[in-house]
Amino acid sequence: MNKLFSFIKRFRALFVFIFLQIIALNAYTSYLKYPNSKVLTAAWTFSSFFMEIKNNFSSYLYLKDKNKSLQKENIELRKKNESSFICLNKQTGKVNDSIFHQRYDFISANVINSTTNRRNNFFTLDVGSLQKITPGMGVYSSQGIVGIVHGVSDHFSLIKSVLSKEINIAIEIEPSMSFGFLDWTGENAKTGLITGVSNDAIIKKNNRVKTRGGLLFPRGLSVGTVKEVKKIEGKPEWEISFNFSENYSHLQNVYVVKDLLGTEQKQLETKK
Amino acid sequence: MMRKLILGGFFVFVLQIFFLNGLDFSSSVYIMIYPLILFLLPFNTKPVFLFVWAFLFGFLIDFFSNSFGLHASSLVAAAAIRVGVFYLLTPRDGYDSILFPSIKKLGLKWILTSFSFILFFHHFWFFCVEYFSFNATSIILKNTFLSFFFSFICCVCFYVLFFFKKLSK
Repeated sequence: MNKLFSFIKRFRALFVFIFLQIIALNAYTSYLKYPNSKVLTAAWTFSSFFMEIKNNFSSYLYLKDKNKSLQKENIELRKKNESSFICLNKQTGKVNDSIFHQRYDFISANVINSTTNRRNNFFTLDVGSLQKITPGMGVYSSQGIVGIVHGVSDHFSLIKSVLSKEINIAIEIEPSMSFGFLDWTGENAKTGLITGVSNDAIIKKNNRVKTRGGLLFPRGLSVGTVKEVKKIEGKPEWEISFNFSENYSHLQNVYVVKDLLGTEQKQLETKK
Repeated sequence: MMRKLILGGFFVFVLQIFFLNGLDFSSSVYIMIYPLILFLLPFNTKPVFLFVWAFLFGFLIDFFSNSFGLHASSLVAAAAIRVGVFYLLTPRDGYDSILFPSIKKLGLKWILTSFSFILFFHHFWFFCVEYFSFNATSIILKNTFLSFFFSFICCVCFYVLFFFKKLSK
Protein backbone atom coordinates (compact mmCIF):
# COMPACT_ATOMS: atom_id res chain seq x y z
CA MET A 1 0.00 0.00 0.00
CA ASN A 2 2.82 2.37 0.91
CA LYS A 3 4.51 1.58 -2.36
CA LEU A 4 1.34 2.43 -4.24
CA PHE A 5 1.04 5.77 -2.47
CA SER A 6 4.65 6.62 -3.11
CA PHE A 7 4.18 5.64 -6.76
CA ILE A 8 1.14 7.93 -7.07
CA LYS A 9 2.97 10.70 -5.24
CA ARG A 10 5.97 10.43 -7.53
CA PHE A 11 3.93 10.63 -10.73
CA ARG A 12 1.17 12.87 -9.39
CA ALA A 13 1.73 15.52 -12.07
CA LEU A 14 1.23 12.94 -14.81
CA PHE A 15 -1.93 11.60 -13.18
CA VAL A 16 -3.36 15.11 -12.75
CA PHE A 17 -2.52 15.83 -16.40
CA ILE A 18 -4.28 12.70 -17.67
CA PHE A 19 -7.25 13.25 -15.37
CA LEU A 20 -7.76 16.85 -16.53
CA GLN A 21 -7.37 15.90 -20.20
CA ILE A 22 -10.02 13.21 -19.83
CA ILE A 23 -12.47 15.68 -18.26
CA ALA A 24 -11.81 18.34 -20.89
CA LEU A 25 -11.98 16.07 -23.93
CA ASN A 26 -15.03 14.28 -22.57
CA ALA A 27 -16.81 17.61 -22.04
CA TYR A 28 -15.89 18.72 -25.55
CA THR A 29 -17.14 15.60 -27.35
CA SER A 30 -20.31 15.30 -25.30
CA TYR A 31 -21.10 18.95 -25.90
CA LEU A 32 -21.05 18.38 -29.66
CA LYS A 33 -23.42 15.43 -29.37
CA TYR A 34 -25.74 16.19 -26.49
CA PRO A 35 -25.89 19.95 -25.99
CA ASN A 36 -28.88 19.87 -23.69
CA SER A 37 -27.14 18.60 -20.57
CA LYS A 38 -28.10 20.90 -17.70
CA VAL A 39 -24.63 22.18 -16.78
CA LEU A 40 -23.66 23.11 -20.32
CA THR A 41 -26.98 24.78 -21.08
CA ALA A 42 -26.69 26.86 -17.93
CA ALA A 43 -23.17 27.81 -18.93
CA TRP A 44 -23.93 29.05 -22.40
CA THR A 45 -27.12 30.77 -21.25
CA PHE A 46 -24.96 32.75 -18.88
CA SER A 47 -22.42 33.58 -21.58
CA SER A 48 -25.11 34.53 -24.13
CA PHE A 49 -26.21 37.23 -21.73
CA PHE A 50 -22.82 38.93 -22.18
CA MET A 51 -22.82 38.26 -25.91
CA GLU A 52 -26.14 40.07 -26.24
CA ILE A 53 -24.66 43.15 -24.59
CA LYS A 54 -21.71 43.00 -26.98
CA ASN A 55 -24.05 42.52 -29.93
CA ASN A 56 -26.05 45.60 -28.95
CA PHE A 57 -22.97 47.63 -29.82
CA SER A 58 -21.64 45.75 -32.81
CA SER A 59 -24.97 45.34 -34.62
CA TYR A 60 -24.98 49.04 -35.51
CA LEU A 61 -22.01 48.51 -37.79
CA TYR A 62 -24.03 46.42 -40.22
CA LEU A 63 -27.28 48.38 -40.21
CA LYS A 64 -26.83 49.56 -43.79
CA ASP A 65 -26.24 46.08 -45.25
CA LYS A 66 -29.05 44.72 -43.15
CA ASN A 67 -31.50 47.28 -44.50
CA LYS A 68 -30.49 46.56 -48.07
CA SER A 69 -31.02 42.82 -47.76
CA LEU A 70 -34.36 43.31 -46.03
CA GLN A 71 -35.47 45.69 -48.76
CA LYS A 72 -34.51 43.17 -51.41
CA GLU A 73 -36.48 40.49 -49.65
CA ASN A 74 -39.47 42.80 -49.32
CA ILE A 75 -39.49 43.37 -53.06
CA GLU A 76 -39.41 39.62 -53.69
CA LEU A 77 -42.32 39.12 -51.33
CA ARG A 78 -44.29 42.04 -52.74
CA LYS A 79 -44.02 40.47 -56.16
CA LYS A 80 -45.82 37.44 -54.83
CA ASN A 81 -48.49 39.48 -53.07
CA GLU A 82 -52.03 39.36 -54.32
CA SER A 83 -52.12 43.06 -55.13
CA SER A 84 -49.35 42.73 -57.71
CA PHE A 85 -51.40 40.31 -59.80
CA ILE A 86 -54.26 41.30 -62.01
CA CYS A 87 -57.32 39.23 -62.52
CA LEU A 88 -57.56 38.07 -66.14
CA ASN A 89 -60.91 36.48 -65.80
CA LYS A 90 -63.20 38.87 -63.96
CA GLN A 91 -65.92 36.36 -63.70
CA THR A 92 -64.20 34.06 -61.22
CA GLY A 93 -63.92 35.79 -57.91
CA LYS A 94 -61.49 35.04 -55.12
CA VAL A 95 -62.28 31.85 -53.34
CA ASN A 96 -61.12 31.20 -49.83
CA ASP A 97 -60.03 27.69 -50.68
CA SER A 98 -59.29 24.75 -48.47
CA ILE A 99 -56.89 23.04 -50.84
CA PHE A 100 -53.90 24.71 -49.25
CA HIS A 101 -52.98 23.96 -45.69
CA GLN A 102 -50.28 25.88 -43.91
CA ARG A 103 -47.27 23.72 -43.18
CA TYR A 104 -44.50 26.10 -42.07
CA ASP A 105 -44.49 28.99 -39.65
CA PHE A 106 -41.58 31.41 -39.24
CA ILE A 107 -40.12 33.20 -36.24
CA SER A 108 -37.71 36.07 -36.84
CA ALA A 109 -34.55 36.32 -34.74
CA ASN A 110 -31.21 38.13 -34.46
CA VAL A 111 -27.81 36.47 -34.39
CA ILE A 112 -26.02 37.73 -31.28
CA ASN A 113 -22.86 35.63 -31.43
CA SER A 114 -21.22 33.70 -34.24
CA THR A 115 -17.94 32.25 -35.46
CA THR A 116 -16.94 31.05 -38.91
CA ASN A 117 -13.33 29.99 -38.48
CA ARG A 118 -13.75 26.88 -36.32
CA ARG A 119 -14.36 23.25 -37.21
CA ASN A 120 -17.89 23.30 -35.77
CA ASN A 121 -19.40 26.75 -35.82
CA PHE A 122 -22.26 27.70 -33.53
CA PHE A 123 -24.48 30.78 -33.71
CA THR A 124 -26.46 32.13 -30.77
CA LEU A 125 -29.93 33.60 -31.41
CA ASP A 126 -31.91 35.92 -29.16
CA VAL A 127 -35.04 33.74 -29.14
CA GLY A 128 -35.61 30.71 -26.93
CA SER A 129 -38.12 28.27 -25.56
CA LEU A 130 -40.41 31.14 -24.50
CA GLN A 131 -40.87 31.85 -28.22
CA LYS A 132 -41.63 28.13 -28.74
CA ILE A 133 -38.24 27.23 -30.20
CA THR A 134 -37.32 23.55 -29.84
CA PRO A 135 -34.14 21.67 -30.83
CA GLY A 136 -34.21 20.32 -34.38
CA MET A 137 -35.86 23.31 -36.07
CA GLY A 138 -34.31 24.73 -39.24
CA VAL A 139 -32.91 28.25 -39.46
CA TYR A 140 -32.48 30.30 -42.64
CA SER A 141 -31.79 33.87 -43.68
CA SER A 142 -33.02 35.81 -46.70
CA GLN A 143 -29.93 34.73 -48.67
CA GLY A 144 -29.67 31.06 -47.75
CA ILE A 145 -29.98 28.38 -45.10
CA VAL A 146 -28.11 28.81 -41.82
CA GLY A 147 -28.38 25.69 -39.67
CA ILE A 148 -30.33 23.62 -37.20
CA VAL A 149 -31.33 24.51 -33.62
CA HIS A 150 -29.00 22.55 -31.34
CA GLY A 151 -29.99 23.68 -27.85
CA VAL A 152 -32.47 26.09 -26.26
CA SER A 153 -32.80 27.98 -22.99
CA ASP A 154 -35.57 30.35 -21.97
CA HIS A 155 -34.31 33.37 -23.90
CA PHE A 156 -31.61 32.07 -26.21
CA SER A 157 -31.02 29.28 -28.65
CA LEU A 158 -27.85 27.75 -30.02
CA ILE A 159 -27.65 26.96 -33.72
CA LYS A 160 -25.38 24.30 -35.19
CA SER A 161 -24.58 26.09 -38.44
CA VAL A 162 -24.07 24.57 -41.89
CA LEU A 163 -20.38 25.26 -41.23
CA SER A 164 -20.15 22.08 -39.13
CA LYS A 165 -19.07 18.49 -39.46
CA GLU A 166 -21.77 16.14 -40.77
CA ILE A 167 -24.66 18.59 -40.67
CA ASN A 168 -26.47 16.43 -43.30
CA ILE A 169 -29.23 18.71 -44.54
CA ALA A 170 -31.09 17.25 -47.52
CA ILE A 171 -30.61 19.37 -50.66
CA GLU A 172 -31.32 19.08 -54.37
CA ILE A 173 -29.48 20.42 -57.39
CA GLU A 174 -31.35 22.13 -60.22
CA PRO A 175 -32.09 21.38 -63.04
CA SER A 176 -31.37 17.64 -62.76
CA MET A 177 -33.17 17.55 -59.37
CA SER A 178 -30.69 15.07 -57.93
CA PHE A 179 -30.67 14.70 -54.15
CA GLY A 180 -27.70 14.91 -51.84
CA PHE A 181 -26.55 15.88 -48.38
CA LEU A 182 -24.75 18.96 -47.22
CA ASP A 183 -21.36 18.72 -45.51
CA TRP A 184 -18.44 21.04 -44.74
CA THR A 185 -14.72 20.30 -44.86
CA GLY A 186 -13.73 23.07 -42.47
CA GLU A 187 -11.41 24.69 -44.98
CA ASN A 188 -13.28 27.78 -46.08
CA ALA A 189 -16.43 29.54 -44.85
CA LYS A 190 -17.48 30.33 -48.42
CA THR A 191 -17.60 26.81 -49.90
CA GLY A 192 -19.43 23.67 -48.80
CA LEU A 193 -19.54 20.08 -49.92
CA ILE A 194 -22.37 17.89 -51.23
CA THR A 195 -22.20 14.13 -50.72
CA GLY A 196 -24.40 11.28 -51.84
CA VAL A 197 -25.19 12.48 -55.38
CA SER A 198 -25.01 9.49 -57.74
CA ASN A 199 -22.72 10.03 -60.72
CA ASP A 200 -25.31 9.39 -63.41
CA ALA A 201 -26.79 12.83 -62.80
CA ILE A 202 -25.61 15.63 -65.08
CA ILE A 203 -24.35 18.47 -62.93
CA LYS A 204 -22.64 21.57 -64.27
CA LYS A 205 -20.92 24.59 -62.81
CA ASN A 206 -23.24 27.35 -61.53
CA ASN A 207 -26.22 24.99 -61.16
CA ARG A 208 -28.37 26.18 -58.28
CA VAL A 209 -28.42 24.22 -55.02
CA LYS A 210 -31.69 24.34 -53.07
CA THR A 211 -33.26 22.67 -50.07
CA ARG A 212 -35.13 19.46 -50.72
CA GLY A 213 -37.91 20.23 -48.28
CA GLY A 214 -39.39 18.06 -45.60
CA LEU A 215 -38.84 18.19 -41.88
CA LEU A 216 -36.43 21.08 -41.50
CA PHE A 217 -36.95 23.54 -44.34
CA PRO A 218 -39.60 24.31 -46.93
CA ARG A 219 -38.66 23.20 -50.42
CA GLY A 220 -36.66 25.51 -52.66
CA LEU A 221 -34.78 27.73 -50.22
CA SER A 222 -31.52 28.90 -51.74
CA VAL A 223 -28.31 27.21 -50.52
CA GLY A 224 -25.71 28.13 -53.12
CA THR A 225 -24.31 27.47 -56.59
CA VAL A 226 -22.16 24.55 -57.78
CA LYS A 227 -18.46 25.40 -58.00
CA GLU A 228 -16.74 22.15 -58.94
CA VAL A 229 -17.72 18.54 -59.69
CA LYS A 230 -15.20 15.76 -59.02
CA LYS A 231 -15.22 11.98 -59.36
CA ILE A 232 -14.68 9.84 -56.28
CA GLU A 233 -12.38 6.90 -56.88
CA GLY A 234 -14.24 3.59 -56.51
CA LYS A 235 -17.65 5.04 -55.63
CA PRO A 236 -20.57 5.76 -57.96
CA GLU A 237 -20.89 9.29 -56.55
CA TRP A 238 -19.90 12.85 -57.36
CA GLU A 239 -18.00 14.98 -54.92
CA ILE A 240 -19.47 18.44 -55.44
CA SER A 241 -18.17 21.63 -53.91
CA PHE A 242 -20.37 24.69 -54.00
CA ASN A 243 -20.38 28.36 -52.99
CA PHE A 244 -22.73 29.33 -50.20
CA SER A 245 -25.17 32.07 -51.19
CA GLU A 246 -25.03 33.57 -47.69
CA ASN A 247 -22.02 35.34 -46.23
CA TYR A 248 -21.98 33.82 -42.74
CA SER A 249 -19.51 36.25 -41.24
CA HIS A 250 -21.97 39.17 -41.35
CA LEU A 251 -25.15 37.30 -40.52
CA GLN A 252 -27.68 39.40 -38.60
CA ASN A 253 -31.36 38.59 -39.25
CA VAL A 254 -32.55 35.01 -39.53
CA TYR A 255 -35.82 33.10 -39.48
CA VAL A 256 -36.50 29.95 -37.51
CA VAL A 257 -38.73 27.48 -39.38
CA LYS A 258 -41.46 25.85 -37.38
CA ASP A 259 -42.78 22.74 -39.13
CA LEU A 260 -46.45 22.43 -38.15
CA LEU A 261 -46.77 18.95 -39.65
CA GLY A 262 -43.33 17.76 -38.58
CA THR A 263 -44.44 15.51 -35.75
CA GLU A 264 -47.02 13.86 -38.01
CA GLN A 265 -44.37 13.06 -40.62
CA LYS A 266 -41.92 11.78 -38.02
CA GLN A 267 -44.52 9.55 -36.41
CA LEU A 268 -45.42 7.99 -39.74
CA GLU A 269 -41.80 7.48 -40.72
CA THR A 270 -40.83 5.80 -37.46
CA LYS A 271 -43.86 3.51 -37.49
CA LYS A 272 -43.00 1.46 -40.60
CA MET B 1 4.43 41.62 -10.46
CA MET B 2 1.76 39.22 -9.22
CA ARG B 3 -0.83 42.00 -9.23
CA LYS B 4 0.19 42.96 -12.74
CA LEU B 5 -0.12 39.33 -13.83
CA ILE B 6 -3.65 38.99 -12.47
CA LEU B 7 -4.67 42.26 -14.13
CA GLY B 8 -2.99 41.16 -17.36
CA GLY B 9 -4.79 37.83 -17.19
CA PHE B 10 -8.10 39.61 -16.90
CA PHE B 11 -7.30 41.85 -19.88
CA VAL B 12 -6.20 38.87 -21.99
CA PHE B 13 -9.44 37.12 -21.09
CA VAL B 14 -11.63 40.10 -22.07
CA LEU B 15 -9.66 40.67 -25.27
CA GLN B 16 -9.93 37.00 -26.24
CA ILE B 17 -13.65 36.70 -25.54
CA PHE B 18 -14.99 39.94 -26.90
CA PHE B 19 -12.56 40.78 -29.64
CA LEU B 20 -10.35 37.97 -30.91
CA ASN B 21 -13.09 35.31 -30.89
CA GLY B 22 -15.23 37.43 -33.18
CA LEU B 23 -12.37 38.42 -35.47
CA ASP B 24 -12.34 36.39 -38.65
CA PHE B 25 -10.47 37.82 -41.58
CA SER B 26 -9.56 34.32 -42.79
CA SER B 27 -11.09 30.95 -42.06
CA SER B 28 -7.75 29.44 -41.07
CA VAL B 29 -6.65 32.14 -38.63
CA TYR B 30 -7.82 31.91 -35.03
CA ILE B 31 -5.82 34.16 -32.75
CA MET B 32 -5.30 32.88 -29.20
CA ILE B 33 -3.18 34.99 -26.88
CA TYR B 34 -4.02 33.49 -23.49
CA PRO B 35 -1.02 31.04 -23.44
CA LEU B 36 1.04 34.20 -22.75
CA ILE B 37 -0.29 34.29 -19.19
CA LEU B 38 0.61 30.63 -18.70
CA PHE B 39 4.12 31.41 -19.89
CA LEU B 40 4.54 34.33 -17.50
CA LEU B 41 3.57 32.46 -14.32
CA PRO B 42 6.37 32.22 -11.72
CA PHE B 43 9.09 29.62 -12.28
CA ASN B 44 8.57 27.98 -8.92
CA THR B 45 4.92 27.06 -9.62
CA LYS B 46 4.36 23.36 -8.92
CA PRO B 47 3.36 21.33 -12.03
CA VAL B 48 0.15 20.07 -10.39
CA PHE B 49 -0.93 23.60 -9.54
CA LEU B 50 0.04 24.71 -13.05
CA PHE B 51 -2.17 22.04 -14.66
CA VAL B 52 -5.14 22.83 -12.45
CA TRP B 53 -4.76 26.55 -13.11
CA ALA B 54 -4.48 25.92 -16.87
CA PHE B 55 -7.59 23.76 -16.79
CA LEU B 56 -9.65 26.36 -14.94
CA PHE B 57 -8.49 29.28 -17.07
CA GLY B 58 -9.05 27.29 -20.26
CA PHE B 59 -12.51 26.31 -19.14
CA LEU B 60 -13.35 29.93 -18.39
CA ILE B 61 -12.51 30.79 -21.99
CA ASP B 62 -14.44 27.76 -23.27
CA PHE B 63 -17.41 29.00 -21.30
CA PHE B 64 -17.69 32.03 -23.57
CA SER B 65 -16.75 30.48 -26.89
CA ASN B 66 -19.12 27.52 -27.30
CA SER B 67 -16.38 24.89 -27.15
CA PHE B 68 -16.53 23.19 -23.78
CA GLY B 69 -13.20 21.58 -23.00
CA LEU B 70 -11.29 22.45 -26.16
CA HIS B 71 -9.36 25.43 -24.81
CA ALA B 72 -8.99 23.73 -21.42
CA SER B 73 -7.47 20.63 -22.99
CA SER B 74 -4.99 22.56 -25.10
CA LEU B 75 -3.97 24.86 -22.26
CA VAL B 76 -3.30 21.88 -19.98
CA ALA B 77 -1.21 20.33 -22.77
CA ALA B 78 0.66 23.62 -23.15
CA ALA B 79 1.28 23.65 -19.39
CA ALA B 80 2.84 20.19 -19.64
CA ILE B 81 5.08 21.37 -22.47
CA ARG B 82 6.01 24.45 -20.42
CA VAL B 83 7.33 22.19 -17.66
CA GLY B 84 9.38 20.25 -20.23
CA VAL B 85 10.70 23.27 -22.11
CA PHE B 86 11.75 25.09 -18.92
CA TYR B 87 13.52 21.95 -17.74
CA LEU B 88 15.42 21.58 -21.02
CA LEU B 89 16.36 25.26 -21.24
CA THR B 90 17.48 25.64 -17.62
CA PRO B 91 20.17 28.35 -17.42
CA ARG B 92 23.56 27.46 -15.94
CA ASP B 93 22.73 28.72 -12.46
CA GLY B 94 19.20 27.35 -12.38
CA TYR B 95 16.10 29.41 -11.69
CA ASP B 96 16.89 30.05 -8.02
CA SER B 97 17.41 33.79 -8.24
CA ILE B 98 14.78 34.36 -10.96
CA LEU B 99 11.10 34.44 -10.14
CA PHE B 100 9.48 35.47 -13.42
CA PRO B 101 10.58 35.01 -17.04
CA SER B 102 12.33 38.34 -17.52
CA ILE B 103 14.26 39.54 -20.54
CA LYS B 104 16.98 41.16 -18.47
CA LYS B 105 17.97 37.99 -16.68
CA LEU B 106 17.37 35.34 -19.34
CA GLY B 107 17.85 37.23 -22.60
CA LEU B 108 15.51 37.94 -25.47
CA LYS B 109 16.48 34.79 -27.36
CA TRP B 110 15.60 32.53 -24.43
CA ILE B 111 12.21 34.18 -23.96
CA LEU B 112 11.29 34.03 -27.65
CA THR B 113 12.36 30.40 -28.22
CA SER B 114 10.68 28.99 -25.13
CA PHE B 115 7.51 30.98 -25.68
CA SER B 116 7.22 30.06 -29.36
CA PHE B 117 7.65 26.36 -28.48
CA ILE B 118 4.79 26.53 -25.98
CA LEU B 119 2.52 28.60 -28.22
CA PHE B 120 3.13 26.40 -31.24
CA PHE B 121 2.41 23.21 -29.33
CA HIS B 122 -0.73 24.77 -27.87
CA HIS B 123 -2.03 25.66 -31.34
CA PHE B 124 -1.10 22.26 -32.78
CA TRP B 125 -2.91 20.40 -30.01
CA PHE B 126 -5.90 22.71 -30.34
CA PHE B 127 -6.41 22.10 -34.08
CA CYS B 128 -5.63 18.36 -33.79
CA VAL B 129 -8.41 17.93 -31.23
CA GLU B 130 -10.78 20.19 -33.16
CA TYR B 131 -10.42 18.38 -36.51
CA PHE B 132 -9.36 14.93 -35.22
CA SER B 133 -8.98 13.24 -38.59
CA PHE B 134 -6.06 12.12 -40.76
CA ASN B 135 -7.85 13.47 -43.83
CA ALA B 136 -7.58 16.95 -42.38
CA THR B 137 -3.78 16.87 -41.89
CA SER B 138 -3.17 19.65 -44.41
CA ILE B 139 -5.86 21.86 -42.87
CA ILE B 140 -4.50 21.23 -39.36
CA LEU B 141 -0.97 22.19 -40.41
CA LYS B 142 -2.13 25.24 -42.37
CA ASN B 143 -4.31 26.47 -39.51
CA THR B 144 -1.59 25.81 -36.95
CA PHE B 145 1.12 27.72 -38.81
CA LEU B 146 -1.04 30.69 -39.84
CA SER B 147 -2.74 31.05 -36.45
CA PHE B 148 0.58 30.62 -34.66
CA PHE B 149 2.12 33.40 -36.73
CA PHE B 150 -0.64 35.92 -35.94
CA SER B 151 -1.01 34.84 -32.31
CA PHE B 152 2.72 35.25 -31.81
CA ILE B 153 2.66 38.81 -33.16
CA CYS B 154 -0.34 39.67 -30.97
CA CYS B 155 1.31 38.14 -27.89
CA VAL B 156 4.51 40.12 -28.46
CA CYS B 157 2.47 43.33 -28.84
CA PHE B 158 0.53 42.60 -25.67
CA TYR B 159 3.73 41.73 -23.81
CA VAL B 160 5.46 44.94 -24.87
CA LEU B 161 2.44 47.08 -23.96
CA PHE B 162 1.69 45.43 -20.66
CA PHE B 163 4.63 43.61 -19.10
CA PHE B 164 7.74 45.03 -20.73
CA LYS B 165 8.47 47.71 -18.12
CA LYS B 166 8.09 45.33 -15.19
CA LEU B 167 10.04 42.45 -16.66
CA SER B 168 12.94 44.31 -18.24
CA LYS B 169 14.10 45.61 -14.87
